[in-house]
Amino acid sequence: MQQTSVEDIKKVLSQNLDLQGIDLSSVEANAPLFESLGLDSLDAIELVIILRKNYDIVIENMETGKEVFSSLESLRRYVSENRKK
Amino acid sequence: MVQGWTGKSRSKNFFHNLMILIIKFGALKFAYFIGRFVAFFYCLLPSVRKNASYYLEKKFPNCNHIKKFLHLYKLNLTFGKILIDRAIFGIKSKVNIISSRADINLCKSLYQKNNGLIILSAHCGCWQSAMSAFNLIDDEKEKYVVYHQNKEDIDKHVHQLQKKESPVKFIEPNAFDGGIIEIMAALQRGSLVCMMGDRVFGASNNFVEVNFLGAKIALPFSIYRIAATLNKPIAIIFFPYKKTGAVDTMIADYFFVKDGGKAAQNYVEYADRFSKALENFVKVYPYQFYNYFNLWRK
Repeated sequence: MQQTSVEDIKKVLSQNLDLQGIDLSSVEANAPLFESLGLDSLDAIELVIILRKNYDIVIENMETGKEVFSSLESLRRYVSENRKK
Repeated sequence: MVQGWTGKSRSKNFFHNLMILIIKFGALKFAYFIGRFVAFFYCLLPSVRKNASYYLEKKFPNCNHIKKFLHLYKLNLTFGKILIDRAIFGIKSKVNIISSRADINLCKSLYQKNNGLIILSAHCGCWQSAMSAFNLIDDEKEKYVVYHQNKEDIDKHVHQLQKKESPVKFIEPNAFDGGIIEIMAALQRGSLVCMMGDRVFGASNNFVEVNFLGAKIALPFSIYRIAATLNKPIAIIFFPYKKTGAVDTMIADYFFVKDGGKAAQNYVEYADRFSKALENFVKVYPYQFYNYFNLWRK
């Protein structure tokens, strides 16, 4: 299992999402992801793409998606446990 | 851009239940007969006249008041027949979904070759009946319909009327992510996803502007981004009402989307294809377009 840090996740998100001035360094790891970053449905597409392209991870159902994208920490944990690259 | 529609039923529970009762007792001709008066009654309501006028004025410009009223009556009457048909289909399973062999083969081929398919439709013709009895792909794979049911909508789905389990699964587009994660997960599993291409959800920047009946409208573009990313084809399919008890299928267009990244402008050509297909539909079926709100508002 290749460990991924919250900082790694923040870096990938800042490179791929239009965060409209939100300072990622001030966002806490357990804060709700969509609310704290002001994400919408278009960003949801990008999140799924980020997981596929950067970590070769496919979200296969809604329940997993809800859990994975609930916070930066849950995203980090899922990436650490499931990344293939 | 904030959505300009609600999806709320106009009819009252009492009239709705009365119609259901008439159909249950088998008085189908009586139900269609009553439908004529109901359609006329709705023509008298200022809110219905206003909400239908946005489309009718674009479709039939420069009409006098009498012609306007006739167009409105025909629009309401056809919609009424479609709703009665849907109820009959739910209660008595008497409506036939007609699909040509060519349409079935095309859809199956698109679906099987690409392990998944997006069906893009619109609020026109018999979309509700058709989605409940989709027979273009006879496959064990799961079928999903992206559908928001307003809490105040008293119309029931066909399976609800039949008190059966739904043959399709519903994805709520008003979820925190617009239903996107579930749509993408379903497509990645090789399922079929059916959704509407003519309405923007929520207060979102998920739209591009295209021409429709001579002026600009906003259409959502995220589904084109999803199709490009997952390399799944899109088939634009409408379900015109042909006659009492008969729903046709019309594959208006189908295509793959070239990945244009995040930029909305890169998906305008696909939204434009959808808009053109819809324009062609209303040329043939001018009284089967049921967006009772101002699609053209800025």
